[in-house]
Amino acid sequence: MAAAQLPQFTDVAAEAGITFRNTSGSAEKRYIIETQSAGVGWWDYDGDGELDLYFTNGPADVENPESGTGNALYRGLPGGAFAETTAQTGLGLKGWNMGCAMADYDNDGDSDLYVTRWGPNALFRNEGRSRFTEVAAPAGVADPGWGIGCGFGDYDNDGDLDLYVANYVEFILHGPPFFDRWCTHTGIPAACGPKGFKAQRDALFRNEGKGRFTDVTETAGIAEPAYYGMGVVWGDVDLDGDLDLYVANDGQPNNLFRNEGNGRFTDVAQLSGTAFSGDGRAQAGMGVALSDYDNDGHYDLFVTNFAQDYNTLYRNEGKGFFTDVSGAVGLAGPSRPYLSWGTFFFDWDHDGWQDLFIANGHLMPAIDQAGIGISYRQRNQLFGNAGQGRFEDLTLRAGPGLAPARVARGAAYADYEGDGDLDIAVAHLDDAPALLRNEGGAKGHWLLLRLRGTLSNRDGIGARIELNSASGTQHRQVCGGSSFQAQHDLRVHFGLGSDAVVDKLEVRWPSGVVQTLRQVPADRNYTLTESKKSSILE
Amino acid sequence: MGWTRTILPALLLLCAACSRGPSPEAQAAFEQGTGLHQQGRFPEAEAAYRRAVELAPEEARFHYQLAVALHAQGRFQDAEAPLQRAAELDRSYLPPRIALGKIAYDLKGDAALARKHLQEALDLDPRSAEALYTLGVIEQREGNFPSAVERFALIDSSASAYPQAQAQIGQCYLQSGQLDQAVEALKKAIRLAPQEPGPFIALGQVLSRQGKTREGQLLLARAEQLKQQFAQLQPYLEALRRNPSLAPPHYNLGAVYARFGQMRPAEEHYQQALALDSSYALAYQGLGSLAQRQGDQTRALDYYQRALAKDPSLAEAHNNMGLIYHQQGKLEEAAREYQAAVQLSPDKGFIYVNLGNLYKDQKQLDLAYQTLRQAISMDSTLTGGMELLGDVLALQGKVKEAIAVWEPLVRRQREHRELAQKLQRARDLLASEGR
Repeated sequence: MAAAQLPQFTDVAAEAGITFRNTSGSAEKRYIIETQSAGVGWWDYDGDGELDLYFTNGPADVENPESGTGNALYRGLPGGAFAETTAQTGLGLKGWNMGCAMADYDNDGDSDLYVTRWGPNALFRNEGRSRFTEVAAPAGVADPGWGIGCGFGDYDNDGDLDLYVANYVEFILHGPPFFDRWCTHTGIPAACGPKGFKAQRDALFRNEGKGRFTDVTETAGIAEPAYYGMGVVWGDVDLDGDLDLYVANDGQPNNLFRNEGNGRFTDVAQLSGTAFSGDGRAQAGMGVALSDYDNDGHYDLFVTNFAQDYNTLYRNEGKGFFTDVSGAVGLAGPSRPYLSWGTFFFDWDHDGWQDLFIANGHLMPAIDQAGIGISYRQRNQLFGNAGQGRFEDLTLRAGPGLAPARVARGAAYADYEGDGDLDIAVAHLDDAPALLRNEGGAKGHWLLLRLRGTLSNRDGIGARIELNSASGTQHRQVCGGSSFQAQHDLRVHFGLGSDAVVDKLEVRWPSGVVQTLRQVPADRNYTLTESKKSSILE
Repeated sequence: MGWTRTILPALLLLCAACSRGPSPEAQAAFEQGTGLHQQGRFPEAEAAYRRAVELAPEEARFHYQLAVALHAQGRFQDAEAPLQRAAELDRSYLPPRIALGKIAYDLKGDAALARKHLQEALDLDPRSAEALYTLGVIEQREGNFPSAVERFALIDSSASAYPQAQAQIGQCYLQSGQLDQAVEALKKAIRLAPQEPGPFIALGQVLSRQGKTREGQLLLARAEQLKQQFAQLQPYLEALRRNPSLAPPHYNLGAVYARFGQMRPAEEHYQQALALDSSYALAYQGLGSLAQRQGDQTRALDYYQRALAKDPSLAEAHNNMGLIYHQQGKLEEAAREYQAAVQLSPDKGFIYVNLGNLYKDQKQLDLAYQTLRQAISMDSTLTGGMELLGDVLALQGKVKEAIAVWEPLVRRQREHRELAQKLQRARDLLASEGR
């Protein structure tokens, strides 16, 4: 596609009224705890139909966790503006906050919020009318570890959302094993870790209903071994009707927990080919995305990794096996100079093929002085997918919003303007976030679908959608977790190219209900309520 | 992809472009740099190399060594310019081209540029294992599997990268779906480096894709075992890294390898311990143990005798010699060795078990019984000793007592079929006597 026809991203955060600025300890980042507190999530907390934004934050002073401004909530307003409502809602949590997940865990019709932290995580139950109550402890999900990634997913298909938390390392400020020592990386001072720290085990919480969860980590078979957990995504990888779980681990094998349907999981990552790179190495996994990038009906996995290594695309070959195709599709080489975090597949230009966004930024402020040719501030990347089996680096042709080099962490997509295309929010360390508005270009037709469960969980997480149009078939899942410390817009987005009508839209709910719609006009935002009796798009 | 192992070859290379040679002052600065480099004083080495370059700017190897010092400090981007200069000055100089190839891919992700540099290196030396391996890895990561396999396959079997290259061939075949070829290559990789977990994992994946999931899982289990062994090796490897010139760290590491059944590295480290200290008796004992496990009794006895010549107090050597003589039917010699072992180490129950077994074979059943009872009283975990006690009781006609000894053992060791059969025969005998 010619440059003039490409949709462009423009950073409109300031213009939209977002004044939040992240803090995460000291500028020099002596301690590993200071390197990650920048998450972002899209949700509609007040049910007004406008998407809102939540940013996680760290303290300004590493010695004082209560310093700094805390997390921030911005309410979406018509026309694309935002107004801060942190104080009114009481969601300005202070401390070392990392990731977030938003979903209706109690199925009462409004979206709740879970925040991972260093220390007990927080669960804010939405009471309606912009009021929240922090209930993590009584709910049984105040996991005390250093939580990074998290995600809601109904793994036992009982209609309510369970919760998975990926925990990182056992960190004690000024404590063992490193105390106040600097470590070195390529000759420069760097925060120590994660190697040398004890890994903390992740946690799986089963929703028992009535606002309570049970820690089933041991009985589910996923407690050991503990790894340095980072990104998390729930998805039905083997298409057997229940949710599996993929966890990206830092410097250790990734996990692919196959749901056995009896409350237990089996880690099949090594046998399936998703634990290591294609040449057999454990990589420093950060963020993760699950999607069918090649439209073959199987869901593929993408994991972001460290600089001087490549981000890994595992193509799902079916029958439980994956192949590392990163190099073959053109993603390996271009990722080597970058340290990558938040990531997702999304159809940026509505051509029916999912493109790829990657948020980048290094860990070590002093890396610029190392003389290795890698910088602390890094540009994010956009790779275009035209369905030819390769991704093309379109970063420099996709607008001014992708030009700046910053220190990104969490990234999430949403159609916040309601114009049918997907925009992006990126959280930056010690910096303002970016709100990348997707505009212009010769975009094709589109369709947005919000799912409202009745037998299944209310957000429709775990639902699989198949869309048939004149150009072909596309598949989507509503995934819990995903990216890095981020929450996407839970609506399902399709780019339709030149197809103005969808021939067939089939939704498979976690409950087993299947709803089929035909001849659906494109370029609209629909809601489908789960029903055995009828299928009506609102 | 580290390239410091090219230092020595680089030092030995003559600079073809520098027919006049550097001045004595420049050479002195260069040698000073080399000395500092070998001591790990990289910033100072860098300064010395810079002086050498200033004094002799046409010396390709001076530029290359400066780059190596910069690389050792992690300053890869800074190393690029002197590498390029070295390559320009000497068209036949291999190491800078390999290094430039690595930088091009590692830091910039520029596969095309990396290929260009590495192909230049291969044009100079088509058999360069480092260039072949590096290019193979790049092709593999870029998804060009046939090209990767071609490169890896050209690596000579004498090169240190050969086992890893074979493993990567297997990975390439796996990634490209050529499963039968992957099996062959990975099995070869495992034969070459049986302590590396990677090929086991890859082979496990291949077998799983071929429908042999159970076999695949067994291979994964083996890989996990190797990883755990490697974790246990770490403190010994670290001790060796800190004191490479002392015999004990080599011996200790060898002993751990021996415990894991990794005979070749065990032997290498025992031999290295002896090379550093020819009086290190434990290393002889260790070599004897390895030979014994491999069935070479003559060599084992020789090593044990040498160990005892250095240190007569090695009870284990006496004990192991006793075992060999016992197997050879030389019962008196065996008794002599076991008794010596018992005298030197009177608290080791397993030596009493061996002695009791010998007495049994000598038909000295009362003595066998007493000796085995003593062994068990010292160490109740000696299940072999308990079984032998039962054998002695049975030989003494005390079938009921033999059964009483064997029954709890059979419950604990359900997989021990021979013992279960022995117990059943004793029960049958008792039952028939009762009729």
